[in-house]
Amino acid sequence: MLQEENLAGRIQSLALKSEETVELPPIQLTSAQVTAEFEEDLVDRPELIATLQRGGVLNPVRESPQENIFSVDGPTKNFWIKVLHSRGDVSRIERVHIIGVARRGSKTQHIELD
Amino acid sequence: MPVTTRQLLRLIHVIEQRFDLTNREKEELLSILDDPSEADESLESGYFDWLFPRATVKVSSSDGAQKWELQIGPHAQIEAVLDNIHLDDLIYLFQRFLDKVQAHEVELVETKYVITGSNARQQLISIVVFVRDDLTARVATTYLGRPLKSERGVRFHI
Repeated sequence: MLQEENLAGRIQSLALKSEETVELPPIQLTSAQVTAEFEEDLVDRPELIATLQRGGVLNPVRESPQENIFSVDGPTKNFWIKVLHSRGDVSRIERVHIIGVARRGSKTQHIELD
Repeated sequence: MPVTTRQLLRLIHVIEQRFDLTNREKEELLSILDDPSEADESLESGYFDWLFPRATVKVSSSDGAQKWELQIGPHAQIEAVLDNIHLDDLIYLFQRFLDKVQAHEVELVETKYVITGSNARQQLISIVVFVRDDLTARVATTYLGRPLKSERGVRFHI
């Protein structure tokens, strides 16, 4: 079902976009502000929240042509995330969406099939 | 990069065909897509994600030795729709990947794989898959062509 209140206000959060590394100041997020593409990844949500509480360095994901997916390292995990900020105030982070989680330090492997 | 008119038309077509949406819901969604700027922002912010719940498909290598569960989340599904990449394309590419892995006795490890290859329509596509020890593979992103910006990681031609 469509959320009427969302529609009424249209799009309030915008995705952070950058081709360069972004240094985030320490941010406080509640659990509700961290969502995931795959709900199983929410088990790693506390590590991501703690990482961003200390201030994080977001690296644009080079494996995607999109400029709105960032890689951030926690103590044990590497997260691919989207960062949604409030319209008109980039510093106000409203939600972080986990796209994927891998072990920290694991190498991306490129496979050419053709 | 901003979403193109052609990409928006593909998404509009998919929404128009959805029998599970009311006419009012369709009108509201399509009105957002009428404005390219608003469409771009809404797509990037995940506003349309709820329309594309996770798809899960069992994919095996041709000899049946590799049996995996391929999971495609809303983000990747929307990217696929915009680029006219079909679910079958993702399954086809992942099965070819499993066949290569099996043929070359490569051991899959828990990490990210960027898989590039042609679909059945001879389009070059790339998918980024988070492979997990529990035999699930989660598609994080899909796109046409190869990853131009990729500099890191290990490259295998198998």
